[in-house]
Amino acid sequence: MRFSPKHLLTAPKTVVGLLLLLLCSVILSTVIPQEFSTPASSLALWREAHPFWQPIIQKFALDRLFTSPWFAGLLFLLLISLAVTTYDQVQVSYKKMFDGNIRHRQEGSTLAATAEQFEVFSHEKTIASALKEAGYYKIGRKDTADRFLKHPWGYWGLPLLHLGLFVTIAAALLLVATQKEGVLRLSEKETHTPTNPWLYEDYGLFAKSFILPVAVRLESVVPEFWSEGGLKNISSNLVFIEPSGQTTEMTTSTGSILQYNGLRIYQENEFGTNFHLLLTDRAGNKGIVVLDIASPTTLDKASYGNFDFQEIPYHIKAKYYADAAGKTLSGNNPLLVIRLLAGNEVRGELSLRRGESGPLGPYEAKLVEITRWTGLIFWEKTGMPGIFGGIFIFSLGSLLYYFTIPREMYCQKLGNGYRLSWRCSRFRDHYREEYRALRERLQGTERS
Amino acid sequence: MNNAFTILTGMHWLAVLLYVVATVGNTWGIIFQRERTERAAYRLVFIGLLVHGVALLLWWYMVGHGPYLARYEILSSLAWGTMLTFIVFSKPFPAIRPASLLVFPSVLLLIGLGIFFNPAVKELPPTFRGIWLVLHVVFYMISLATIIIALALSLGYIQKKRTNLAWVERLPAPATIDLLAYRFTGFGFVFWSIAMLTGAVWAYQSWGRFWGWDPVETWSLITWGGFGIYLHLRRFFGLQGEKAAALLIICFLLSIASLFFVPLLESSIHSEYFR
Repeated sequence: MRFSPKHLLTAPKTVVGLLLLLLCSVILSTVIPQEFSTPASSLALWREAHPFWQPIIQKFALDRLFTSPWFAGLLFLLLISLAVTTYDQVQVSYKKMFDGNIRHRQEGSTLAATAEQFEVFSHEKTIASALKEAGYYKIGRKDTADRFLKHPWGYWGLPLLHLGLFVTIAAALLLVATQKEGVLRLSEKETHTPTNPWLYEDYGLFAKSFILPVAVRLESVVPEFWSEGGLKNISSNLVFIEPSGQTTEMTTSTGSILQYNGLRIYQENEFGTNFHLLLTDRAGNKGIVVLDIASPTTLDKASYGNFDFQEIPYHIKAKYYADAAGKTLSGNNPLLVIRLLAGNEVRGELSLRRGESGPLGPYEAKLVEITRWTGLIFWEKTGMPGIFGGIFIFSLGSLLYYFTIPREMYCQKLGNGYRLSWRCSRFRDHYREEYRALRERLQGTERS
Repeated sequence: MNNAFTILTGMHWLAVLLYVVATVGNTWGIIFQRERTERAAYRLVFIGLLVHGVALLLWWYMVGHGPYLARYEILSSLAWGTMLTFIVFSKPFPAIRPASLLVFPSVLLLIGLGIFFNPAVKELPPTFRGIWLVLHVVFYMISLATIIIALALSLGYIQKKRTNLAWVERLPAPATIDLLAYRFTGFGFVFWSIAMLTGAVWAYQSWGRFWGWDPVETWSLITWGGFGIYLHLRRFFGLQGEKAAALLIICFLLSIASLFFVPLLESSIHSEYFR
């Protein structure tokens, strides 16, 4: 028994062990809330409810499992194992395809015991023709026997399958290490300059903070709805402003990637309305607060928002209906209903349309402006073609492995006739009928 | 529109009726060795598939999107896909025909559950569109169909090993059934992989990312890993027989949970699916 590092890495037990560990890790990620996908408040609640596990979770970074060093280590080990396995399998497949599976010891010797054999007293050309009709093509000659192969590409299933996995994991690691992603929430007519902070930013281990090379202004947001309600599409008209002042206007919409100077921009599936509310207190002091509420998706249902501002000592509860007239979801005439609270006590309530004003507790409130907002994702990523290419290679390899099973036939001169040896590399039982039919046919030619 | 719905419901029920008669005939044919009855059952299945297929196309035309959003349309199209996949595969692999004892009732169960859920028209959310989404769904359906066939074969294997019933004795040899279960699990694995690939392309086009550890994605990966381990154990560790069948049953349950229960339990980008 060999115990080289290569042997250890490619041993079936190692591979299955690694797969099991990775699988268990992924299952663990569904039990322990992950930082990247769980709101901070929910995460805090969960941590409070499970204090016993916290030391272990923190020690092994189980709440940020996919970016933990040990998970990266497991992937790295799998990657090396796959690389070595792929290299080995390419050699094996090449050998199987061009050298054949059946070893011939000496001229006239019997073929390996794994092959099924029969003898035929026909002409060589008749045999070749019958084999060709059954899909067996002459590949070459091995020692004293002509070699016929059916579905030779099936030998390449396993190497491709492993190569595909290798490419996918390598490309995914490259992408995670070098990606830059930024999420913006812009209101109509608002400009994001390169120095402004992102709403959310993520960049890989080997990448620097994501700074846009241009300023971006959101000109307008255009939502579309189905006739029965429900969001159909969102489009954003953007203006890119170069440092030179040159501007370019472009549109992005849901599911349609916008590309500008190497940047990729995605339309988020979310939009809403900013209500700019001018509040004037009894002393005449004025201030504007912006109520930012996600859009309702049906005419009869409102969207809600809760707000606390430093400028005022009250809590605001607000809701809005998409259209004050109740006619269209995409119109520009929403109805805002505001409630001013001091603790649980309601101090004022008011309904407002665009430009309207009225008393709201100790304030005079005026709805001075309504703008739409939406979310936009910007990113620079390397490795995406590798990921898709890898999964494609993997899928192709597994298709070849399970669907195209290579079968070999050796035709060896033996006295006045020929000895034919048939071999099927895997799932042999499924092709025995094919072998029997071929044998009957060839022995039939001999009788005729 | 109401007329169209009436016609559609009628077609669905006609398909159900055809499948019911075919299932009874097929079971009778296999158990009592009535080849003519079995052949007649398959003819009914063909007609059922045709009627059912036209009903699905009509539904597609009426609602303006493929049958991959609401429970009714998902289950109905899955039933159709499972039956079609079985018929297609039974041509090159005639030894799987006894698996129809489980596949046909499964199809009936799926279509029955589909009709049980109110056939409501759901509008497509903005990101639920494009050819990659259609391929994503289609390959999951084919994958599940092949996994159901593998499950039927595995259960057949267990039955064959544990009972001495006359009709069970006539089923193919245990080794043949076991090998077929292995191969069809391989097919399921291949189609599951392609479904994940097409899903990754769809996600990339919709959200700018190929993978997001969304609960549905995560459980799909876990299922894929489960099948990967099953195939590794069979190839390298000689796993076979009842142990392999037991592991396959676990993998099957995982796949059902991933496709139908995770989207209900957890919020995700797939949350509009199967609601």
